[in-house]
Amino acid sequence: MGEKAIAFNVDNCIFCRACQVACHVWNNTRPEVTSFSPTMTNPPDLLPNVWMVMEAKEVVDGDGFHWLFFKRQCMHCSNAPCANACPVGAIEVHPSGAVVIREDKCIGCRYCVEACPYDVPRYDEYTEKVYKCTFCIDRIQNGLEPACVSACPTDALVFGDYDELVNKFKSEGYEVYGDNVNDYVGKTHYIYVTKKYKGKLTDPKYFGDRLLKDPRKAARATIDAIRPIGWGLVGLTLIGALGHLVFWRAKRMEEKKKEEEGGGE
Amino acid sequence: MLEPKISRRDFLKAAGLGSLLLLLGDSTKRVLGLPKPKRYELGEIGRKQLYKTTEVRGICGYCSVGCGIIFYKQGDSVIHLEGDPDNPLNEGKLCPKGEASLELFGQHNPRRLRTPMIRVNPKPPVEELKKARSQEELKAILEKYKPVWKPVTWDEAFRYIAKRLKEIVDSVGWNPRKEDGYYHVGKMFPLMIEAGAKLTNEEAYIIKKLATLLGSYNIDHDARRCHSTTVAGLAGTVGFGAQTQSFIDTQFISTYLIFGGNPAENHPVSMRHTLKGKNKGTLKLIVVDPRYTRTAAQADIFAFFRPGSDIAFLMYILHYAFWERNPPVDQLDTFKEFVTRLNVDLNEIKEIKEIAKNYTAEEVSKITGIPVDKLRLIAKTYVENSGVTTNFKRFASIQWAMGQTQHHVGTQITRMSTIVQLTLGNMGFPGGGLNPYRGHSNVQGTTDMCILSHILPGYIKQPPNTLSIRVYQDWKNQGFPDAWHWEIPEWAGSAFGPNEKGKVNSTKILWSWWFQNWRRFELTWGIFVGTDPEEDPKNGTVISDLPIGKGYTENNWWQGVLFDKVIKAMLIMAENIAVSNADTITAYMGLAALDLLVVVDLWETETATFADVLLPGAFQYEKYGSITNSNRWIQWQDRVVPPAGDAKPDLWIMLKLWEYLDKYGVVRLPSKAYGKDREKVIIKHPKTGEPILLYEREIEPFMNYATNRFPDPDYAYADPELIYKEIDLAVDLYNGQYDWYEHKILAKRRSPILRREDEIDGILDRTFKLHKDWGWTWPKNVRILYNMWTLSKTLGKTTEFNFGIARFAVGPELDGKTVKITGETGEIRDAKGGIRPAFIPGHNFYIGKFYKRAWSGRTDIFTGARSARELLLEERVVGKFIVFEGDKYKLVDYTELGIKCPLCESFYYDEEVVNTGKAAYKKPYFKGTKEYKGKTIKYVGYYDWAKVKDKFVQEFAELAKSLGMKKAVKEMKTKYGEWYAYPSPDNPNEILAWDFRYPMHYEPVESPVFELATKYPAAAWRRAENYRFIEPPSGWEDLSKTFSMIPEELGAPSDAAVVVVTTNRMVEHFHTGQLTRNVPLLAELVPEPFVDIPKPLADKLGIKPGDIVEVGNKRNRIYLRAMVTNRVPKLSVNGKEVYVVNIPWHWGWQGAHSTYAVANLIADIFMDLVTTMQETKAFLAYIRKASPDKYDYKANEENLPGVRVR
Repeated sequence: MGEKAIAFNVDNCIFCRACQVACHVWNNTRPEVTSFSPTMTNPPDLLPNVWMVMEAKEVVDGDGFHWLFFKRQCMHCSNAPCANACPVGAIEVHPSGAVVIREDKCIGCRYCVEACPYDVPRYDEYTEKVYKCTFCIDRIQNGLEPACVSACPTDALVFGDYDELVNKFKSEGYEVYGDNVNDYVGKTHYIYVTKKYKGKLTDPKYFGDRLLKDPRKAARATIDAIRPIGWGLVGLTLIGALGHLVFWRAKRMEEKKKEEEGGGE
Repeated sequence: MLEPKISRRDFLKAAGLGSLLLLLGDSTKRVLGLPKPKRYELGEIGRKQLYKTTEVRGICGYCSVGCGIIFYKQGDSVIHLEGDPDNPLNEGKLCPKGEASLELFGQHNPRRLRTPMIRVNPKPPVEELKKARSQEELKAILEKYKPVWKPVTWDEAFRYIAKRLKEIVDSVGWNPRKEDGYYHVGKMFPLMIEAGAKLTNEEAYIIKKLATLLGSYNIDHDARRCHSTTVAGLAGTVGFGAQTQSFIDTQFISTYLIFGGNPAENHPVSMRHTLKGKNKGTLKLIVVDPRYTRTAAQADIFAFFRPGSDIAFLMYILHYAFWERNPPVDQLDTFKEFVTRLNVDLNEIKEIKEIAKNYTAEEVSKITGIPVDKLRLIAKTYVENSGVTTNFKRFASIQWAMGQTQHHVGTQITRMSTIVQLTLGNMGFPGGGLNPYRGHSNVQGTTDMCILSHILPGYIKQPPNTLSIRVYQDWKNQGFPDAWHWEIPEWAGSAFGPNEKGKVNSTKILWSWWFQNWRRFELTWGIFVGTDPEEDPKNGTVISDLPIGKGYTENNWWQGVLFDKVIKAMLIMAENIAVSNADTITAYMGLAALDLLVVVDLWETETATFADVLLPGAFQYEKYGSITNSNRWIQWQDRVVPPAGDAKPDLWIMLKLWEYLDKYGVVRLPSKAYGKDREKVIIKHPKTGEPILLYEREIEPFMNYATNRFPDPDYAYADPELIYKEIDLAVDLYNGQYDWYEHKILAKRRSPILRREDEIDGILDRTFKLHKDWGWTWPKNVRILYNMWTLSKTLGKTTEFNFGIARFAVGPELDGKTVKITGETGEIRDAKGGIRPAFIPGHNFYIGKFYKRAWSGRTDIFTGARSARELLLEERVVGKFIVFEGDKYKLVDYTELGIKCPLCESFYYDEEVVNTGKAAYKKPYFKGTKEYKGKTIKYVGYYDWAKVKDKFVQEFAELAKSLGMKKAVKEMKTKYGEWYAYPSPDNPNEILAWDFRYPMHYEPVESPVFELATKYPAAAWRRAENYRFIEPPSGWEDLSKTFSMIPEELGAPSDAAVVVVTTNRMVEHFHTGQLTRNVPLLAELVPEPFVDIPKPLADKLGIKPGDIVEVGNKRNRIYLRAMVTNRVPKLSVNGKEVYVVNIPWHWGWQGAHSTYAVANLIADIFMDLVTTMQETKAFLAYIRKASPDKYDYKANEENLPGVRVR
């Protein structure tokens, strides 16, 4: 599989939060019992059981009132600082760009939490492991789009080949965040695009509190030395045959896309 | 863009390689430049064993978009769901509710009811509830009388219900024998049924059939509270009260005015299609709303406006088009051509043009709070992108939901939208029309099946009196004719249309249509409606198994319990009126006063707090049946799994209930009481008048649907496919949903492939993605209503269809002819076997209600049926035709006439039919005269009303100043005998009363500005139920103190501010919240009840985000969290500062995330003049900071440790 990206098209989002629910449903993560949120963002922050959160923010500027919607989850950095920090090699960077914590290998040391400039991985005290978005590795490796993308009714989330997607948006006049961030994270495989809020993606008043211009963390421990120890913890996993019906759906989605593209308007 | 297509074999190969790699040792991998990251199984992270599943297709059970869902299950365990990629409505996508609906299954949801239960403790008494005017007081009472349940078997539950109902029915002496015949009066039945819009079509049909056979029209459902005013406003104006476009079709709109709806939240997947147009740059989105919604966040133009000023805003669009635009639209040739095609009288246009003249930008700005410049920008954008201004190349469209409907003049508002669209040439084109998005998954279907108190399935009039039954018997004796072949007997008077053969008007056509449908009910239900003897309709004894009149509605039923004392028991299925009824305390008193309340639901709802019996029902996914989405697509739902425990689908419950009621003697059919068990079906010889016996039929009601064709025991007892077929026969509107020739359920069609150009409607299907082979749509598979001109005007093409000689069951106007087709025709299975276009050419208004019948005068509907059982189970007809030969006749069998499918009937539509259909620009809701204190009240049109309008307003304003608003209303109503009435300047004995023929602005009953409240007085007092709040029945005097027509009457505390309140829904929740608060995935997003408060107001009152606030009025007080936001406005209305607050109404005290702060406690229930719709979108309240201990929200669930515990 080549390098992939998920693009969050800010302009198309209606904040329905189907993605947030779809993430729970696919990953079987426990919904959080939350309380009132004065911003609508709920839960207000990422949690070990909530791997993505839709954030809403009201901004008043010279143009008037804006209600901004932002999808927050792991950015899936190419030079993933979390993976670099993991002492046991439990965080794998896949060729697709997915950065995935292996639950079977994670020892709960939380170095990754320290290393992440986007403040994403979350430690669960009960299982004593760290969790975050997996890029739906167990879907994309099997020919399905990530769950959040698959759900998104307005195509505010799009999944595709990295370069193709970046080029497509750029050629359509979108501003893109993520294809070249900095030396610390490299590029991100979650990219953010907009026409409506050009010049505001990295402005902290708008999206810049999340889409950092220069993400980095000072404290990167000399973990590299102890990392190999972890390799011993690799467990064996057999891959079973895939149910025909689920597979069929993936194919249909594929064909649908092709028909749409080929059919023309 | 995606991964290149991988075949299953490639996939397995890759997987095998992956496992091999895992077997290698660490060091080897290093040498090879590995480790390769892990290869995952599908669903491995969530521990879902998807490869062991089977799939079931279904339709989402929340909103009305009709999204397809694929469920994945192992045995009876549902482990996953995904959007159905083949379904053109959602193309594989889902909204958060659709995604989360996995948690509705009993296996995932411990709160689901699993066993029938009977209450063993007392219910809350009416007298105590009467005093509860705050959340705290209500809570104290309801907790004191919290239900205690005893689990019982279904048999015990049914016996209990039947026994109690028998006692109640006996106590009121329920008996069909009347002085002038044998029939029931539908409003007098002591049991009221409220059955929700979550039912399937089959269930909806059966519950209405059941009620009717009991003799009752006291049956209604939540459509009354949601789109009843849309249905009335649209049906009265253009023929049908439904969305004319489809969700998919919204992508072709040029200017989309979202006015009174919020599709991004309430129909999220519909936005998929709308945004396609927007992203292409062909669609401009205008949102006008009291709130900056999630839809507004997508708007090109947005304006805040004041709730309840809807008509004024729409009137300005007309004002711009008629009075500001140069040239005015009515001078455009396109306009003249269009309205002529609609058969609209140009004089009618003049009258509304005159009305629109008053609504200048300045005046409308004062009423609505929209700045003048913005008003003009919106009107201009809208008008200049409309059909008449673009030569039918671009179209503007209006979307709405509860924003337009929930007002006491809701019918007038939706009519106003329709008139705007008719005037601007935006009706009946792909990309143009009316888009009332409906709420529930099947509310369109349950409305079509008419779980309503005033119409029979398919929008058929209920017999209003015994005269109509005599005329009906006479119609039967004329050989079941269409309007053109029917002669109304002289003794019938003028109420049925012109009594001359061949001469028609819309009244006559409608009556003949209703009669044909009554006949459908007679044949399929096995009942009798007519006279004995049949030959003597004028003097024979009237016997009618269809009751007479109309019943109580979902909004006035409580008056039927408390004031009229008619309703003594209720059966509520899939509804939670204790949260959804406006001015909810009235509902609590009504419920508490009942002798028997049976609730069928998935959960122990708030309504169940008042119940005697609580029965566990099933959700849509646990049923088989057909579902009609908002744009009228009928799709099939297959059962995913049966409901958990002892719960049963509503269909089973209804039919079992019927069985017990029959056994216990509650069913008292008039024909049985009279002893009429045979009908002589006669046709009188048109020349000699001799009654010719066509055949005899057996009268025996058919309610036994046990066919044992389904393996599931509940459906073996209640065959939904048999009922689906019965609906095709009984309900004209749905005729065609079953193919009797090829034996196919068309709702099950799942072909996403578009038609070839040479197929029926092929060009339109291909060009506008109509998807005509996906499911089936009423009428006759037409996808865009009133689509008469798209081919000729928009695409510049026409097609032809040739009716080969004697090949089709049509009249001489079409037989052997070639017709030109200019729009969408739809298609039907012809009685002679082929498929042919239905509506020729294109079609017009009232399609499906107006048609001709080739077999008029010659045979019964379907050529007759000896019994309902024979018709439905054996698909057997009588098949006899009369052939007249001079004074003689002979009977011939249908096969001799080349007929292959008598159940397909012989209806057809020709140019004459099309040209009779007329858009009702003008629609007087009050007609004629009545006497009052020696004077004559005369209902008049605008020209007459304009003579006294100012005087009426002036006198009201003066009286209001001196006496107060309520007394002023009473004074004038007493003086003139009618509201909106004033003495004629020309005739001292005459009082002129406005007949409401055109919309005008009326203030909400509770208006924020005295000057507007008196200049545009609320119309509510025209309706008796509303006037009871001004002059209450004895013992209920306090009722007049429960509302505040102006802020001054509210008596707001000194630390509070008076605000206009509007209520709404949000994407995370659904209606009364039971389907979402009990779903942890959705509760995570929005757990607590809140009120949106404008930031400047919050600052003024010292309210911070998350504070507890009190929102109250004379009806009640509730406590909510404060959402301090810029998304609700401070407006300038008539020069006065007006704040709007918004309350989502999804909360109640039962289930998870509960509170006694039911938003509807403070909403008013002033009812629409036509449909009794409540005014929940605009009322007054005060708001202030409250002590946190007043807040009683409880989560009723807690965070468990771990990532995946659940």
